[in-house]
Amino acid sequence: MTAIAGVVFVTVPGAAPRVAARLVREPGLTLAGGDGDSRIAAVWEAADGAALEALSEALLGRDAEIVGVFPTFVASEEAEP
Amino acid sequence: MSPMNRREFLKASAAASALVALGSRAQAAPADLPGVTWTKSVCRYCGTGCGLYVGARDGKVVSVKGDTENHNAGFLCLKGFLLPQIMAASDRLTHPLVRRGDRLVCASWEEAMSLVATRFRAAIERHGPDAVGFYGSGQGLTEETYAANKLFKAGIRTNNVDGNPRLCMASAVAGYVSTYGKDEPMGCYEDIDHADVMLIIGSNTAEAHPVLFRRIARRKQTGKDVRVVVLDPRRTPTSRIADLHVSFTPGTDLAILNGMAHVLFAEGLVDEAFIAKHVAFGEGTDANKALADYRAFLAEYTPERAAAISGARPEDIVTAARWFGEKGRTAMSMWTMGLNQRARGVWANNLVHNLHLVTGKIGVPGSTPFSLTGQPNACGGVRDGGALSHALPFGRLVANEKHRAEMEKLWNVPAGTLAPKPGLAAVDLFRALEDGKLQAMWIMCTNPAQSLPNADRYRKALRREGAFVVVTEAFHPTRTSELADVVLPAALWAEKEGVYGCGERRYQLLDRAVQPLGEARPDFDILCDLARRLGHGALLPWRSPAEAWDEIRQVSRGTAYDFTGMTRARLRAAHGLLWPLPAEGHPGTKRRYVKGEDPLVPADAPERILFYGRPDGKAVVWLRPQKPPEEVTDAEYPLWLTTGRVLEHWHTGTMTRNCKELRHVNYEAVAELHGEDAAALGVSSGDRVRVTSRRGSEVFTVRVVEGARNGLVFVHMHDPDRMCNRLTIDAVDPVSRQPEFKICAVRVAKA
Repeated sequence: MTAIAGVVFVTVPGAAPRVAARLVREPGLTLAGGDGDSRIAAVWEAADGAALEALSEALLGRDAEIVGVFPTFVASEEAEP
Repeated sequence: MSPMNRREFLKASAAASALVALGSRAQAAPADLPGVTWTKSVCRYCGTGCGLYVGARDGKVVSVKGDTENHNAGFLCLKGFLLPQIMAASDRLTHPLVRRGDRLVCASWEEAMSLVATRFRAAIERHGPDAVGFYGSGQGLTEETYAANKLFKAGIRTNNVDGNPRLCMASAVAGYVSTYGKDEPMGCYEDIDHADVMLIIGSNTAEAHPVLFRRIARRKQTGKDVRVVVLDPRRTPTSRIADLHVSFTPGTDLAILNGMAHVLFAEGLVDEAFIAKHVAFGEGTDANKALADYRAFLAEYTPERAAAISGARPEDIVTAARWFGEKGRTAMSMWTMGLNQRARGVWANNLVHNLHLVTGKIGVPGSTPFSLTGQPNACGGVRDGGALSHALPFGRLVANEKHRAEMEKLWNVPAGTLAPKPGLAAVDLFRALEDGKLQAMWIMCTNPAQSLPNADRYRKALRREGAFVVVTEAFHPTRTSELADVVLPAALWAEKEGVYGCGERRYQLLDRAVQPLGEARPDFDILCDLARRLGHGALLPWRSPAEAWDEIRQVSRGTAYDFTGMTRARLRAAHGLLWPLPAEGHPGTKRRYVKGEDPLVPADAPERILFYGRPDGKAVVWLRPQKPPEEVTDAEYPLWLTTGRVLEHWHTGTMTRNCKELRHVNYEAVAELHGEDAAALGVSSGDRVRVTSRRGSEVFTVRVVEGARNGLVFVHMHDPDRMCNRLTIDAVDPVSRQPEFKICAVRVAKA
């Protein structure tokens, strides 16, 4: 099973470009867009929902300019016939 | 779909949702938590009716997860994911309140209910049964709304029973009834998966119905040459997936829809055989016209003239019509408040149905008109259940003697019990409160002091000297509960049991997952208590909502809604069932009026389609001319105002603004302006403006938006501190009595 999530990263004001530059190196993460200031839309793939949450917490702990990681959509590959 | 394609699709959907939600803040629901018990339920928010499981531990809701076996395939939107957060929000009301002067103070249930019963009895004895009224909600459970409807109509003997679906769906109801003879959509969500063309009009589906939008986006991505046409004055997030976005001056879409019909005939895209077999033509209220009359009527709606009226481009009207009418391809329309909340909302609905009827694109997978619903049980509880001032359960009408007699027999009350005159519809109900004709009002699960148009007028009515207002509500204060004489704490969502019916005729059971917070009680119990105190306990004799449901099923028997086969056990086992479902072994009905699918179409019917709601078995194409909105712009009020939702908040914000995660985004309603309008006013994003209409004024922060239409101000509807409904107009559609929330004239000045 692979969990696929749409997520929004919220950064400290003005930090979105710097954070995005760091996020592109993150395994399983694909940037989808942003507002250029404090919000970044991305797609995140991981083994399951728990792994997504763990990754989220790890990123929050590691990157001081990220103030929140928020899902907008979560699904697994087996979720739909 | 291959695994690779499916993954690509999911990634695209995820990206789209993230982009739509850009700016939202939330936390993931925990995946699987130890010690959590899961109870099958339905989302509390919009009318999509997403199935989910409620996770509870130690008597508290701690998580939700989407139901993969339901129509939403496990998907939930941001608000749905965060439902656990509102269950114990700090503004949950946990004990009754009664008014002492200017204050609401704690009281016992006995004290509060005794006061309520005394005041209701006094009003009825002194002024007659029509001196009291009930104002319900498309969020109440079916059993709750049924109990209220029965108590007030058959017990108290007043038809002053209405609800907030009058504010959102009444024009869709009247559109269906006038066109097909019966209410409710004939299609289902699955039609999206088969649609080659999707016409979305007056609906910001991406924000108001996000999980349905996901399905639309998926179809757009995975289908062959699937086209999406969006008709909306604003370039909303929904427009992002559109192949064609047609922007127009508010209130001119009747001209556009007639213009599209003109093109369909002019270019030979109509289905003459279908028209001959299944379509009648009408004007006014009678099917008294012929095809030739309709063609003559359409002659003046050339694309050029429709464009001149609407401000759209003629070539866009032609393209939209060509795509919709292309032979051999399916077409589905979806709409919501942009059409319904209009002084000509019924006509606008009629004109959408016209497009399907003249092309024959109806009653096959992927071809259907489909009104989207704003609340989770507006269809099931209020609309189907007949808890409106003109209605009785399941398509019966107050004004119909035979229908009254049927209901008197089913409810076991003496002949003549049910009053023959329709009661007061929503806005009229509050006007009666204003002028003293209504002395006492029961408001359940809704917030009219914020959600009614021209709100300040009705806020005064709610506090009129002598008026007595009871509010049952899970949260306090709301803009309505703050004005009440008695506020009763209502159990919320997973704290009670009952049925929800969503926008595709899908009925689903919500089982209780936890006990009510504090002293809160389910509205069902509160209404049964009220009935006993008013001497009508025998009418509401049930010991549980399940017992009431058994009665409701029997009341549906033999009607167009017949869901006799939806036993409690079957609902509990299923992941939603679509009516008609007249026997326990019946699978339910995806498409109405279709032989072989709809059990109400005889197996020996001569044609595949039978619009059995009308005596001649034909649906009506109505000749409806362009009419301007009730209020238009002028030198004093030069800008249009329209209102609507954002993804993160719902209705009046009582169930989202108290969610700490959602508070971070769009907490405050803003006024979205086009750049040129902002420049003319000398303001930019972040500045404050005062927006003034003929009814009131309010200050908003400006947001200059790329997709805004020049001359149009868009304001969010969810903010109790910046109430857009101070500005909106309380003019109503003459047929549906639905207010024209979506259009009025304003002036804007830097604050």
